[in-house]
Amino acid sequence: MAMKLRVQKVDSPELVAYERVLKHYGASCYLQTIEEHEDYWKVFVGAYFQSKVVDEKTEKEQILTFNLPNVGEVLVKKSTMRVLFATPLSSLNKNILRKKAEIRQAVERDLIKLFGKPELNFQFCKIKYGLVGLQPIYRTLTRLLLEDYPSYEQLAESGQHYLEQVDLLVRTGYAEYTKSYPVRLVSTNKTNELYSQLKSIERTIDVVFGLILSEFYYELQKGMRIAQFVPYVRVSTAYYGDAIQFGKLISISETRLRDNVKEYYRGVPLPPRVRYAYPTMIRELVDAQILRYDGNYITGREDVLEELLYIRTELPMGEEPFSL
Amino acid sequence: MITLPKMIDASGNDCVVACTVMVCMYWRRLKPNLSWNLPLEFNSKEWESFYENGLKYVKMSGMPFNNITRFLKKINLPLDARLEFLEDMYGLRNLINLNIPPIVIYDRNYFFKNVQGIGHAAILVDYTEELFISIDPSMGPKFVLKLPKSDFSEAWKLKHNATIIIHPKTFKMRRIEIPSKETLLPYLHKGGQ
Repeated sequence: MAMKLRVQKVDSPELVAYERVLKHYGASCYLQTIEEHEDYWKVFVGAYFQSKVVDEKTEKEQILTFNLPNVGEVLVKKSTMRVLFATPLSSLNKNILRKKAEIRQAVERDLIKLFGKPELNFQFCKIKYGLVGLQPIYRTLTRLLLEDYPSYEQLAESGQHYLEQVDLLVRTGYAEYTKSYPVRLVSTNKTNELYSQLKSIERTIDVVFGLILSEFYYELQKGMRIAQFVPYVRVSTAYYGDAIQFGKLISISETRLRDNVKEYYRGVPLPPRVRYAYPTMIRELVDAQILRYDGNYITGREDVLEELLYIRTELPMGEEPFSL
Repeated sequence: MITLPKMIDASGNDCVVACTVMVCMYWRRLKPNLSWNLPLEFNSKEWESFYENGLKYVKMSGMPFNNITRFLKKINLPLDARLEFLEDMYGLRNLINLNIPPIVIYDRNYFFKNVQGIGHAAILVDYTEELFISIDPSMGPKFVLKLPKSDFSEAWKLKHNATIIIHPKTFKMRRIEIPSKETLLPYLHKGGQ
């Protein structure tokens, strides 16, 4: 059997570039703009990616299409109409991941900022594993609230990492060193006022922890290598990230939430706590009033989501979300 | 009308793989005498693993066409796959007349909402004067989507009339390349037809 097929000759920069895109990347990519240079055209490539958010309780789905511009480029030589250079597929995929990570980071950053709002009453002391990493702050703050003021030498004996965390209390204005010898760490008026308002050591520590996390989360994680709070932040981000995309609170199973964490932090290893102690972690997040149970499902808090919903307007959506 | 033996439900970037496998199944049933290493039973494990294997080639950026040819070669099917940018819709009509189901890549967002978006794959199986009948893997359980030609033409044009043609290796295809407008005049001066 033989047949004739009339096809477009691949002789324009758009077509040369698009052929390259379809052959090497896929149909989720598109051509953005063409820039003319002396002996070549530079064609910028963007990509769409679809994200599906599911509310398992109501069985409703929403599909969002994100538009990620400038994830690759194709150079087409004028004299030969051949591809001179094209972003390799691996780099293009890395660029897509990077752009996705930017969206995730926006949610993560803003959620962490909320931790510093005392009126939201997060109870960080319930996150026992998280406390392990912040022991120096926890122990020092407890001592200060009990008016047991440690000397600088005593603090220094515990090691550099201990002093580094105590320094965060000083930087946030919840503790200060005395000017007279022997130098001691004492509580400030700010701490005393907070304590007299809350009338509970645990609640005071919750508020101070929240403020420290909201201001120094990335410094603790990257600078001081205190990573115990990281899995909790990731799970919370994965939940609220989906809820933001959905536009309201959703109810999902523990398994789906774990899949969301994997998807949100694609390219980043899953923290061991998410892998091995997941149900305990979810329970701690519920106890800490960051997430809630809705029967067998996990849901969030209306007031927390309200504070985050504005991010939805800033997402680089390619079109209006649609429901199935 | 082309009748596909089995429908595969797929969404997102998996649509190209689903279309490719559905067309392979079609050829398997239509040309049983070719040297196939997949059974005629389309619900069998072999076809399932063939499809699963195809999904491994899907990237975040979609399914690169080069991966389709790799994936078909790996299992040594008696089929060839080619990516062509057809001149116009007559080409699609001719393929359907020859019982070759074309897989079209078109902008389905534009088709439905006039907003540009992701390239989507569907198989054309029939046509009338006004419309094409497509089998769309994301439109289960019915899978049939009627595409009015005028709207489809615009949405397909946005993807440069990209079409994947899968046919038995024994078929001969003569390509007639039509130059773009910028190069058409010099082409005609040289006696092109």
